[in-house]
Amino acid sequence: MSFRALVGTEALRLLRGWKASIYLALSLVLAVAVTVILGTGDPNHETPMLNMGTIWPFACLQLIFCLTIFASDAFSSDAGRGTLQLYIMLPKKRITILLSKLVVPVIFFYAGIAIFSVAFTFIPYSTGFWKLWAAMIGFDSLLFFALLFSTLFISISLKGAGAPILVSSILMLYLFIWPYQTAATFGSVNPFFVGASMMNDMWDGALDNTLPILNFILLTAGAFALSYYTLARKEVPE
Amino acid sequence: MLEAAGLCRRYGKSLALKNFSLSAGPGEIVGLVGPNGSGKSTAIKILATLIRPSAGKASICGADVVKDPLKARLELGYVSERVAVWDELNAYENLRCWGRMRGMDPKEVDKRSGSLLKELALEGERKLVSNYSKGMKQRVAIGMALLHSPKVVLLDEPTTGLDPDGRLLLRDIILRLAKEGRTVLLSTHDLSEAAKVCSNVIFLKKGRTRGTGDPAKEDMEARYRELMA
Repeated sequence: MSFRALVGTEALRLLRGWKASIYLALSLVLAVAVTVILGTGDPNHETPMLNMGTIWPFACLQLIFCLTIFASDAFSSDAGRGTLQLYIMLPKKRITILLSKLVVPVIFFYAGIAIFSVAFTFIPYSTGFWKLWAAMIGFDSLLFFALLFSTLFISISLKGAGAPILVSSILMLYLFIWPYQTAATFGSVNPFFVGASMMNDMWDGALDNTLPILNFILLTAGAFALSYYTLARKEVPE
Repeated sequence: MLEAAGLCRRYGKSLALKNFSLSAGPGEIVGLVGPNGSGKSTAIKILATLIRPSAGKASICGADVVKDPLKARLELGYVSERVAVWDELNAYENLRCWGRMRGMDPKEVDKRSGSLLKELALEGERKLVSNYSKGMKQRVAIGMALLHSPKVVLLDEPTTGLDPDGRLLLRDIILRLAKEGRTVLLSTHDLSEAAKVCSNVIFLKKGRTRGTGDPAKEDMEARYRELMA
């Protein structure tokens, strides 16, 4: 009951603010844009214009919006405004608080995905499209969870809203835009960036079966452990 | 109900609180008085389980604030120096969400919220808290702290930002809490406020306890001058 109340309070607070409106509006704009682009393809072709390179940039942008808008200041804005103490004063374990803060970006992320899916129903494509879209959601979800925990860790570690949003945006843009350069520069951490490299493969239209699931799982688990450890030791800032 | 022995707290090299001890039973109102930087808020934050002591022990209703903070928090109500309320919600929603997050029964939350908002003169306020004055926000925070009927109430400079009506209202609430057998720890700059409501006052300066005073027997202003000189 109290976990539901934690999630409900968080969602209500977000819905009352500007963030939810901005996010849902941006998702709608992206969904309409990608639908228009796909809709201009050859309708006789089984999956006209359809490759991951068409949808991927839009899905990535939606993912970035979600993480920067909701996750990057999930804790830091509360720390800045003094309301973090309300969460810390709860007679609940810190893991419950961490998970409740995690659920809300997840809800909004899939709400954005749902907006995309509804927009795609206006395109008369065969079932092949939906199979690819499902695969896309799966891959996007893996990436989402890996980055979500990294973003939450930034949010737990910093105070205020601006700095965590900026740091998270830079991190994500770096991972999205310069994966090969990063991998080349920091050879020892290549495995970390394999996921990002795979995105470029997908950009070229090759949906590989060797998705770097293990890397994502390791990144998710590592960021989760770090987030929990930091939050468990967290004291209310002055 | 509220026990502290030898509490110390360091921030880097500086010692914010040194050897702070306290014992308060049911119905007692203990005041913490001292200038800025005397360690009042640090002591209260340790007792509220928000920060950990560098040394010493403290307990709330028998629950150690370091070893068993979840149990201690069940019996604890805390109003901070910095008003902590959710700006995106109205007064009633703040209380309702806080109560449900604490795991209280929804019917009990509604009943308690209604009576507290009436007592705090916030009944019928439908505006979001972001539109409230600081005093009104402070009253919401007090309502949240008292919602679960805690046995121990920690008030860190609760009169800051309150208008005269708000101060009188708060004084009545503190005295009522004591009558109900709850323990209140009140940190304040206001000597006259401490003299009017406290059964015992602890004077702090630069993190050290300089002495105690009994408002029923002594003039608090003279005692303050004597100890802080």
